[in-house]
Amino acid sequence: MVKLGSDALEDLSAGAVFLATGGGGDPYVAKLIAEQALEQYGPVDLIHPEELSDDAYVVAIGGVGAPTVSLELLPSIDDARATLQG
Amino acid sequence: MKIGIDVGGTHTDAVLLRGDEVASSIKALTSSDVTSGIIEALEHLLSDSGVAETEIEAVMLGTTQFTNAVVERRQLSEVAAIRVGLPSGNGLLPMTGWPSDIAAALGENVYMLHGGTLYDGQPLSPLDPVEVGRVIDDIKLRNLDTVAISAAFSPMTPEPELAIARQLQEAIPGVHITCSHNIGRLGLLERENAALLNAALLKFAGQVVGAFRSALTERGLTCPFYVSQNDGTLMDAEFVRQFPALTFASGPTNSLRGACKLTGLEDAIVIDIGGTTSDIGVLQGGFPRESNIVIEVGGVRTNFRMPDILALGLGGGSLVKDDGNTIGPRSVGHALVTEGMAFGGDTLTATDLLVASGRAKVGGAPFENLPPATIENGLKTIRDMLNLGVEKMMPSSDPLPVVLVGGGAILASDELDAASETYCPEHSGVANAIGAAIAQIGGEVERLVNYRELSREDALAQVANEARAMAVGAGADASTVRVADIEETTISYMAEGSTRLRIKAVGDVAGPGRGEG
Repeated sequence: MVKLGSDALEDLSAGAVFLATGGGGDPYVAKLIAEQALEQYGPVDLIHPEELSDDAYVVAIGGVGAPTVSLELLPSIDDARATLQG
Repeated sequence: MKIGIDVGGTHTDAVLLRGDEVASSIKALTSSDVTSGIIEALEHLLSDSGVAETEIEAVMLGTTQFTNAVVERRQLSEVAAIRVGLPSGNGLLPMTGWPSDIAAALGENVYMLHGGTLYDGQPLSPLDPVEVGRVIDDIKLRNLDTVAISAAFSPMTPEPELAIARQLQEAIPGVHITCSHNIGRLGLLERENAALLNAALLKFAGQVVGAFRSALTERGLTCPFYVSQNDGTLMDAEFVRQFPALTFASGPTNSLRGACKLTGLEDAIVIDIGGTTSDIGVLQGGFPRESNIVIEVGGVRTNFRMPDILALGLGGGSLVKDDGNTIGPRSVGHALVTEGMAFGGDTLTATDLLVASGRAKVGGAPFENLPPATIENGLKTIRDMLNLGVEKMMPSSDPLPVVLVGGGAILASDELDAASETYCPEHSGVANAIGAAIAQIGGEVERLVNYRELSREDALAQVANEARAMAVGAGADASTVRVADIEETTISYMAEGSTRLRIKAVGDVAGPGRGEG
C-alpha cells in the first residue's frame, strides 16, 4: 500500500491546484494544515476507489467562501472536525 | 553634489555625482565593522575629486546588512509574536512553516488573542482586556523588549493593533514594536512574517543608523543622509529605525535604477553580475518590474513589494566543472583574487575562462594546461545560461536591449542572442551606488474611498495631493514631485464602489535651501 507523508505535499498541492484550475487560490495554508496533521497522526494510506467495499462509510468535507477572506481569517482543522462531529 | 554608497556583503561601492556626471567612484572591500569601509570610500571620493565636505548636499546609502542579517540569522532580537484574530487560525500559529533555525532565533514566544475585524471593519470579537493584560504580564516576565503585532484585516482597520501597541508602551517603557498594518498588505501570514522579521531587526537598525551617522560625521559630513528602500525611494534615518525590513530588496533595485541612469534606457533587461550570482531584472518605464508572487527572505514568506529578480548561480568566481559544461552555482566568492587561476591560485573560475580566451585582462598569472575545448565550452555555457535567463524574464517575444552591470559584467563579453542590443556602460561596476545616489523621496498614502460618495476623479486628486504633501514633508523638492504609482483595488463583498486607493508620489531630494519660499 502506498503511504503519503509530508514529502508528498508539495506535489499534491500543485496537482490539486491544477485540477481545480486555480480555484481556491494559493494552496499554501491548506498545505500547512495538512503538514501539521501528518506530523501529528503520521502518514495516510493512499487507496484505489476499487479497494473500498460497496457499503464503506465515506465522508468528504469541503469548504466554500472567498479566498480574500481566508487570507486573513485563516481556516483551521478544527472547522473540519467540528463539521464532522456536529 | 550627492554621494551614493552601496554597502554589499563583499564590496562597498561609492560614487560622487556632480549633477548627472560621475565625478569620482570607488569599489572597496566591505570592512567587518562596515563603518571604516564607508569612511575609506568617502575619503577616496573627496580627495580624488577635490570637492569640499560642505559642497555635499546629501548622502544616499544602499545596504544589504538587514537582508544578510536575516539570511545568516545574525543580529536578530528575540520577539514576542502577538496575533489577534481567534478563533480563526488557531491551528496555524505565528512562525508556522519557518525554517527552524530562524524561528529559534526569534524565540517562538507566541501569543494568540481574540479580536481583529472582518473585511468591512466590523469587529470579529472585542479585545479582551484581561487577555491582553495576561499577555503583557508574560512578555514582562520573559524580559522581552521587542514585539510584533498582527491582527486580522488590520490593513483596513488598524485600531486593534494600535490599541495593543499603546498598552504595551505604557506597560513596558522603551519597548520596540512593529504593527503589521504598517509593513504589509492583505494576507495575514505573510504580513505577520514581515512584521516579525522587521521587529527582529529593530535594535540592529538603531546600531546601523548610528554607525552610518558616525561614519559621516567622522569624515566631516553634516548633510542629511538617507537609506534607499525596495521601491527605489529614500527613507530618512528615523524611518529606517522603524522599518529596516523595507531595505530587503534595495540592492537589486539600485542596480536597475543605476543601469537606467547610465544608459538612458527606460525599458530594458538588466543583468547584474557579481561574484556568485547574476541577478536579472526588468526595467519598465525606468523602474523595476515588481514581482507578483510571494517573496521568501531567508526562507520566510513575505508579501513585500519587491522587484522581480531571477538569480542565476553564475558569477565571476563560479567554479568551472565538466570541461566547461557546468559552471556554478558554487563560487569562490571574494576569494577570487587569491584562488582564481588568473591570480595564481589553482581553482578554475568563470573569470579565468575570459582571461584565458583573451577577452578580459585581470590577474596576470600565466595559464598552463587549460585545454582550448574547456575554454570554448565554458564560454558557451555562460552565454547559454545568460540567454536562457534573459528569455525567461522577457515581457514579450520582442527582444529588449540588455544592460550589463556589476563587477562581473566582463563574463558577458559577447553580444547576447536574446538581446536586441547589449550594453556595458562606463561606470557599470558601480551602477548600484549610482542607483542609490539618484534615488528620490517618496510619499505614499492609502485610503478606503467610495466612488459613489466621491467621484473617482476627485478621489484620485485628493489622495494624490496628500501623497505629494507627504513627499515634500519628507524632504522632496516640491517642483519635482510627481505621482509615480496608483493602485486601485476594488473591494469585493462591500458596498458597491468601495475601493482601496494607494498613491505614491516621488520627487528629487530638496537642496540645502529647502523650506524657504
